[in-house]
Amino acid sequence: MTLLSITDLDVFYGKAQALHGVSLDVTAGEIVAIIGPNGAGKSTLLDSILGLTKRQGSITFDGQDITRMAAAKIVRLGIGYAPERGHLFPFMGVRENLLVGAYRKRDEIDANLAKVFGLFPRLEERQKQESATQSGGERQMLSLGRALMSSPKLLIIDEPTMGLAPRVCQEIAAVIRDLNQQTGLTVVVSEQNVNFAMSLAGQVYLLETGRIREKGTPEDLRQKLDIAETYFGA
Amino acid sequence: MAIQILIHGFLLSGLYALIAIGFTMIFSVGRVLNLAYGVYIMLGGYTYFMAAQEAGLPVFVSFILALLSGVAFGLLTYELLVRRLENNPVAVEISTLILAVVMQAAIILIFSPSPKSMWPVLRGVLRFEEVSVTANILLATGVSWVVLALLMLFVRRTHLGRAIRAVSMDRRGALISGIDPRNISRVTWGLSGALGAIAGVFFATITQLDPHMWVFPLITAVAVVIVGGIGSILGGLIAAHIIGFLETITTTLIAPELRGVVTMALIIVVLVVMPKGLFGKEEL
Repeated sequence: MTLLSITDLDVFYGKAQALHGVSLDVTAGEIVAIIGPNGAGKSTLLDSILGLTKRQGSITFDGQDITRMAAAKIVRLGIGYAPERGHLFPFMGVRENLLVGAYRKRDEIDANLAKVFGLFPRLEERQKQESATQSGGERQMLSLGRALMSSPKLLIIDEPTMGLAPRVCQEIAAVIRDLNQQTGLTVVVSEQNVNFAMSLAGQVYLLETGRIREKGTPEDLRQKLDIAETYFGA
Repeated sequence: MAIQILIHGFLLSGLYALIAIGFTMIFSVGRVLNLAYGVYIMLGGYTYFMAAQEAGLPVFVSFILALLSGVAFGLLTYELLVRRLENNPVAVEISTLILAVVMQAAIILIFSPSPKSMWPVLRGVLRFEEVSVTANILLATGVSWVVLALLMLFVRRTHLGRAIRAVSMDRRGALISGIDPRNISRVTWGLSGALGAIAGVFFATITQLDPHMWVFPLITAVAVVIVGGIGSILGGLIAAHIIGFLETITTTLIAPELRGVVTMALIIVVLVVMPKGLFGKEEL
């Protein structure tokens, strides 16, 4: 079953076009990675799913057309978003940040808090710490946790490893894998870290200058392109 | 003399905090200065005057009517002006200032330009040693503290209150948490109107009702935001006390005519010396 379907998406920033005819399908229960160099339009694509850009084309989620829908409504339909740089609430504590994430899902707060603290014990230990004073890794965890507080069917994560130490990256990857395998959560993740993306995803899209250049399983993509050479400079 | 300044300064500061908080909230959430804010105070005063003094309604009912007039006018300001000028703070500031001047003219037309004196909400005078304090200002300060405490609980303990703080800290973060910032703006403008109107009833009983009475509270509110830094209810509270005490000291020791002047001087000094205010952090 297709959970998210994007067809011929064009996105504009003023007169500049950031995405050109992007199409992408996400099957329920899978992890889809979007890779590509800085400025390829990964964040723009993810922002568009949440209704945060000026866009043309069609986006459907769970059988509903969400192309023209407001962000708040899209979240209510079941999309959780952990955006680039988190967009956390700096002068709220960890727990309060999570509670804001539950704004649209107040009946499941206790269960969701327990779930998030189970995934990230470090957040539970520092519930009162203001997010402005957190480390990069903790902030990424909090951002994921906040997105999970709305009990999403689809979790969208923008560059989860940006600026994080390798050990923390592995921790984050393990959590994403667990969520996917144990709860069947569908995940769309954008990454510049190709290894990270390839190790997680069942489907990979390569985005370049606002266009989808290749798509397929990680093996397909490794064969089609010498990605290692292009993106690792090896 | 010292004890008199202490008591009066403390009482006045509570009211100033209430005057400022409605203005600060709008600034935190929308990053605009609502220069029509003084009108909510004036409207609160005139509505209470009409209800309690002209129509002879009970104090409590008159109070509620004043509060509702503030809510209504706050919502109108948002729906008719601010929402349409979103993303353009300068346009919002110019148009709200014009709105204030238009409302001043409307008040002159309806009520004549001459000042009216308001009866105190509560009558009587209390004496503490050599200092006498009216029951009315005691009530004003008491109500201010209660309202501020309730507001603090509201923004810290309720989902809606947290959503208001969320929008003030990171609008996009709020959006992707399922919060509609426009609804939050509506709530904030309505609430700001209510707070202004409540403060206005007491402000009018302590000074007088006249069509220019919106200017002084507006300056006080601007000063609290600038001295206290963006947002922070606590910062605002402290700033309100700095201003309240400065004013009490100058009006008691030097001349009553200096009311407001010291406050304006303080705005300029703080802007030049520490532009982020004393407690500048972008929080509510």
